[in-house]
Amino acid sequence: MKTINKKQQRKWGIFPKGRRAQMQMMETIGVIFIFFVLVLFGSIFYFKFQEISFQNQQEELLAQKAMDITLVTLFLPEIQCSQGDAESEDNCVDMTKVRAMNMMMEENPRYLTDYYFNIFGYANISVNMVYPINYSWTVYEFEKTGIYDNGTEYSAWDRKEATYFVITLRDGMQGYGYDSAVSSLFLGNEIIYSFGYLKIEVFS
Amino acid sequence: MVVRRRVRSKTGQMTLSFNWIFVLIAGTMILLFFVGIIIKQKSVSEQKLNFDIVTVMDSILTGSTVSERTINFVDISGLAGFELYFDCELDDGGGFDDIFAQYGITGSTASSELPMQVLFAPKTMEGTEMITWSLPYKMPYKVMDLLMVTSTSVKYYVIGGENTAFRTDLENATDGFTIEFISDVSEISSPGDLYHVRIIDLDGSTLVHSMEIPDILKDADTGVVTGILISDTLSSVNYFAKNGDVWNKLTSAGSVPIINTGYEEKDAALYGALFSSDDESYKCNMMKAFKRYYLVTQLYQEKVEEMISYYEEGPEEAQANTDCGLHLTEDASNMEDALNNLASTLTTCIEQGYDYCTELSEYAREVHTLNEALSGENCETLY
Repeated sequence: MKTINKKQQRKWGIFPKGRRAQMQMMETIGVIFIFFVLVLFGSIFYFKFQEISFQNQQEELLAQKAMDITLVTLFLPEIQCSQGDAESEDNCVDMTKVRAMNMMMEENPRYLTDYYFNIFGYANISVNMVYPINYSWTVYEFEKTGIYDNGTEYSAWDRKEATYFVITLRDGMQGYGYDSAVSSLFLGNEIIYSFGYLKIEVFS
Repeated sequence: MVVRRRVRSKTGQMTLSFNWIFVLIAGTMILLFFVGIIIKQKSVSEQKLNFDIVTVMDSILTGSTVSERTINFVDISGLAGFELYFDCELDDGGGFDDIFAQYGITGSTASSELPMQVLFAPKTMEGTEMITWSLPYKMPYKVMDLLMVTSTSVKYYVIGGENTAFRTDLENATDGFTIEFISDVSEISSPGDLYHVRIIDLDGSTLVHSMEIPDILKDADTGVVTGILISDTLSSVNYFAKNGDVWNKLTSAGSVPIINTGYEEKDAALYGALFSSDDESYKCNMMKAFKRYYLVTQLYQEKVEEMISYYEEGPEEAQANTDCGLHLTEDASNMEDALNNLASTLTTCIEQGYDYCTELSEYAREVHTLNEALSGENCETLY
């Protein structure tokens, strides 16, 4: 019988019996290792996908929230044009009410946090006049902010969704009560209606 | 030779059992790993579903609320088998700060608080179609939109009050609801698969404390059958619930007054009472409306101050109309005082509870009269 040396055994993959068992073990461990590597890759891919999907969902939610807040603002009794017992005018903002709301908020800032925050959340709502002049009034302002250790504030929102809606602005007192630059344009010119847009920014 | 064979056989046995133990441990670990993932995913999916339900419901309710005077039929067949609950609780104090309100799905974490939104609904509700109806609450100016929520699986029977304007209005307004206008209790049919039955009694002929309930409803579970008795003048209501075979008056402390101006054809406060589960839920929701009323009134107080200033110091044509100033501040009954009285009553009302709000109607009517007067004199109106 022809004998083969150790070098040839290794070359041809022939091992003594003890070594063969070790090789089988190594093989099994290798298979399990590769299996777990594949599971790990799968998990990373899955969680990455979930993260992207979550971000998309967050964006959709924010867009939905912006639409909801726009709707609520357009029909807000505090600023909507009304005519006695008749139906309220759609897409119309009463500037006398906007001024009154500004004053009320200035005198009672806690209404913002105690009540209106529950309706609008983190958002900025402004009424913007485009014609006859460019001018802007803030109806609600509650930006998501944080505070650094040194006491300074910073914007703490990740996303912002802005919505615009075209509206008419009515002012039965012809701009009386605005600052002089604005009221001089309205007073005496019998301008009651003007034109503008509602800007709603929602933060998350 | 024999000895060597025995040793080899034992080594084989050892290798074989070690392999099996190894496979068993590795297999168990792999199995546990996947079971862990499945359990985690199940809980994540449930949370996501709950979150989605609440988000969609929030959106539906917001949309429905602003759709003034509109009845929406919302398909909720996706929630078939789930029970929705609407809760609004008042603590002992009864003021606005004592309110806890929320809605959600029974037996799940899907819930959302309703700190501001007024929502009149049965305590619990199931079905495939949800009905939402929004009506503006005007006192006399618009305070907010009140939302009524019910389902096609909730049946309403309206008894009595034949030929009254309210019954006719209700009949015209509730097209598509599961509602029947009857003249006698014998016309009531078995609840069957209905989730809830509510009797709306307009003349006091059916809902009397301790009186036997109609035979056909006797087998129904407690909580399934409720009733509301509306006074002839539509100024107060009483709530009833089935207790054994008799009616039990829930409002034993006295009727619940309806706080309105009486000028509105479809009064939100009155219609809201029809859809409320009981007196506590109704008062609780109305307290939320009164809180908003307080804020809107403060806004109108600011506006009146500006109007007074406009007619006193504004342009010449405004100053020339002296009647406006009279109605606003100088007359015995003037807008400034009326709004101050209203605001003062509202302060007491939201602090101390519903029973302290009854005077609101009177002041609201005064504001309405003064606004009409301003309109008649070609002045800028309050609202």
